[in-house]
Amino acid sequence: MDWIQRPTVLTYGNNRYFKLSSVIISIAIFAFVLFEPSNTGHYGGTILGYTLGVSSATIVIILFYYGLLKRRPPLQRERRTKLYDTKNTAPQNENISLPSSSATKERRSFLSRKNWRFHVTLQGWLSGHIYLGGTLIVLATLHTGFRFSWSVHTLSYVFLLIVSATGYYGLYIYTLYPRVMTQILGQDTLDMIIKQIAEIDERARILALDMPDDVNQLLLKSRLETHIGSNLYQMLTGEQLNCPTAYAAKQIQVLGAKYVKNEQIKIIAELYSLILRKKTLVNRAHIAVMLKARMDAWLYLHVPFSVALMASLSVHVLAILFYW
Amino acid sequence: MISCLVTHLSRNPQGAPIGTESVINSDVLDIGRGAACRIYLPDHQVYLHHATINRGDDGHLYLICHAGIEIRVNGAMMHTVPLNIGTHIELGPYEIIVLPPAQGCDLAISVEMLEQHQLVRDRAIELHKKSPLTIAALGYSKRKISILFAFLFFLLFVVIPLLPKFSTSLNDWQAELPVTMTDSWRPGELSEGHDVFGSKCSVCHRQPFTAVSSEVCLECHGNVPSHFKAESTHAKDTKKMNCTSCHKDHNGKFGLVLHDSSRCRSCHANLKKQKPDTTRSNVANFKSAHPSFRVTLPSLENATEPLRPLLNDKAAVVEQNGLKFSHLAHLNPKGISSNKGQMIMVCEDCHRRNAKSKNFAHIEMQRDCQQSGCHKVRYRDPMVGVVPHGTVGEIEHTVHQFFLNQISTTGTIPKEECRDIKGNGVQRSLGCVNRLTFNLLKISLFRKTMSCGECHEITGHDSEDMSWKFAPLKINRDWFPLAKFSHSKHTVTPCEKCHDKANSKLSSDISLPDIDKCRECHVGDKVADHKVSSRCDSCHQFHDGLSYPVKAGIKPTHVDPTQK
Repeated sequence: MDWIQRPTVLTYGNNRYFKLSSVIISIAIFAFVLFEPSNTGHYGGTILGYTLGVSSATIVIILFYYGLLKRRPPLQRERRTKLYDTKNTAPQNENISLPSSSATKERRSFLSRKNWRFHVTLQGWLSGHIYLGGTLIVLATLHTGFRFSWSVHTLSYVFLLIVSATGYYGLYIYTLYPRVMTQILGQDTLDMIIKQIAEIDERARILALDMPDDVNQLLLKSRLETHIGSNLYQMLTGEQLNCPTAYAAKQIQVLGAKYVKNEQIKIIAELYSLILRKKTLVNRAHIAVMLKARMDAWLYLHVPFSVALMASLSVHVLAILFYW
Repeated sequence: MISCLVTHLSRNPQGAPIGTESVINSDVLDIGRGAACRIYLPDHQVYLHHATINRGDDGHLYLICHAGIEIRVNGAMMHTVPLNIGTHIELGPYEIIVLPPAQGCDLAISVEMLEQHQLVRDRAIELHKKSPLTIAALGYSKRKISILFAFLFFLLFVVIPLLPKFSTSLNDWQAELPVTMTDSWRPGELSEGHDVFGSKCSVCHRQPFTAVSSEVCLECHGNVPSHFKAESTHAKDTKKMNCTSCHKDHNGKFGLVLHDSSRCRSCHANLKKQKPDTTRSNVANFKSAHPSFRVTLPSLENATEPLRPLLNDKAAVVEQNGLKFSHLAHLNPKGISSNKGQMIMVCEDCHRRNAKSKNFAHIEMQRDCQQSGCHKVRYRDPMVGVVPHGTVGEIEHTVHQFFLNQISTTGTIPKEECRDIKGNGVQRSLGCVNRLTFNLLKISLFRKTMSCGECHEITGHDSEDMSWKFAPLKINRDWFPLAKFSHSKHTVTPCEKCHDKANSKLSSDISLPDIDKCRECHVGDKVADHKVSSRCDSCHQFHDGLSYPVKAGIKPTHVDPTQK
């Protein structure tokens, strides 16, 4: 039960980072309203502008550092070592699929480890990452003074917005999709579903050997051309265009009317049942792959654009200092 | 009858073949998926009745496909296949090879499922596993995409913008492009005057990582007056105060000049502490920390500097202009008597705005004082006449000419005034004209209280010759020469709201409004409801040079932007 009661990243440490972000944002907005700029209006070159800019850059570095920390090889080694130790000490017959398994315990222990980095847990870092990201949007927007142009300076801001948007999309996905994934997969795993699909294919193949060729062609097509995952479009949409399994399920009904022998009717009925089951399994597999793909996809924008943001931020500072 | 030895091959895990032999005797050997087929090939890719093996008329054995079906034989698609030894036939997932016939058999064949089809059937799970199920399995790498992004960014936004810095010809070439190589680094639009430099950053930005120096600005703007006296110790402060302290470019077409008062306040808010010997007051804010105005008055005799008393020093603020004038009389709300009757005068009757100057137009005697018949320069005694408004000499000459004409025309000399004049006729006539002129000027025109004496301070009445002395006129033209003020922006305010002239009897009265009057409408930098915010440069100019002359001999360097 303690797993369920564990605070989420959004409420970590009694909303510590939410409070911190609120304070920073309030101070920034207050200063922005209070500070009387010269006739040039608010922009990055005023004292407040520089302050906001330096603060924003610091936050970007902290957020980027979190990304680096998560991917640091020593950490992975440490994690593997820990997992190895845990496995060796765990009873051999332990059912690893149960929530209270040693792997889960190890993961929870890893997440909540107090001295992960700078005496903040990984969950704490993530919580800070989320809220400081929101703070960054406000600070950077105030830093711009709402002045935009076709330049590397505005491009940095655009990258920041993209990184933030993808990050919050990721947060949304990770808040919602694991629950949906559990509903879709139930007790199964994707591998188990694929095994079941293969078993159905084999049973249908044997069952249909004595059936006419058109029935076999349908099953063959369904078996060979039904792809789970396979390409980016299918992964992200969770459906296969002109899915052969769906087509087979529809056509077998039509073909069934052609065959009148008792034995054939029985086989067709059985095949229909099998193909419907396969269709259900294929749909579940498609959705499971889609959920996983979507949980991964945002990172394919978030990470490269984070790197681009760091690059553009460096160029932004370089351009300002170079032509001081 | 055909006797055929069929060997079904399969492979063990090491890949070695394992054969199962059977002999089939029949006239026709059916091959297919159907249970009735003699050579049974259980796979969907094999038709129910795929082909038959028959003996041809020539005694050879042939494999004949059913209508519409072809099979691959030694790589070629065929319908009828002569079953020669060594023939390779691909039938669905199976490979059939014709072997040398064993003893007692007409035909020997081996049947084996091809390896790739074996995978399809028996290792469907593996096949599915080979199908990519995650984005990473598709070959997309976050790290590679990130590196590509960073590389492209470095190329587009670091290398390209910096290239013109290292080549003058490239710099010239790129400046003509619709989108220049340095545009991506431009933080904002250049000011109107500097826009001519376009994308040639090096015109102003000479050294990397170094702020634009004042020397660069002065190459073009060398004749801009200084804010400090050259000999002032505070001139050293100019080193701390660069042009760019107040003039920051890339802030739009009209954003070059700093109008904010903060820079001014940085010195003037605490000026007395920074420069104890200064006569100037500390100024921090127009609304609450600004001294009374200093009015500029004409210098006293033998003095070069003008007087600049504080406006609240009533004793000192007196204008010795040499005129007699009563605003009270002229601005009588009931009117003032004139040749045209009772005339009600307003300020604009005399103080006319000058479109070309911040000051009013000069008051002209003829236009402003004599237009209604008032203030004609008349003389009455011993006869009535008018002289034009002019210098003492001109008036003397006019009167002189008048009497000369009169005596010449009549040929008689007035006995009463000129009785004692001796000499011949001409001497007596000229002497008489001089006397009559002197008398008229003394009694009538230059009398202290009438004609010229109505407005001018005249002395010299006791003198025997015509040594009249008019008090010199020092009419102040500009009360606040160091400040900007536009009456045209204040037309909504009645004159008397600021200038209390309705009760002024003397021309020495100065009815200029002090700062408190201005503060009724104007506040400092901070915007306030129903008030006009006023910064330092609302009234003062940093580069007005105060009372110091513009640096002599400095001419602007004419920079041709196309040549740099």
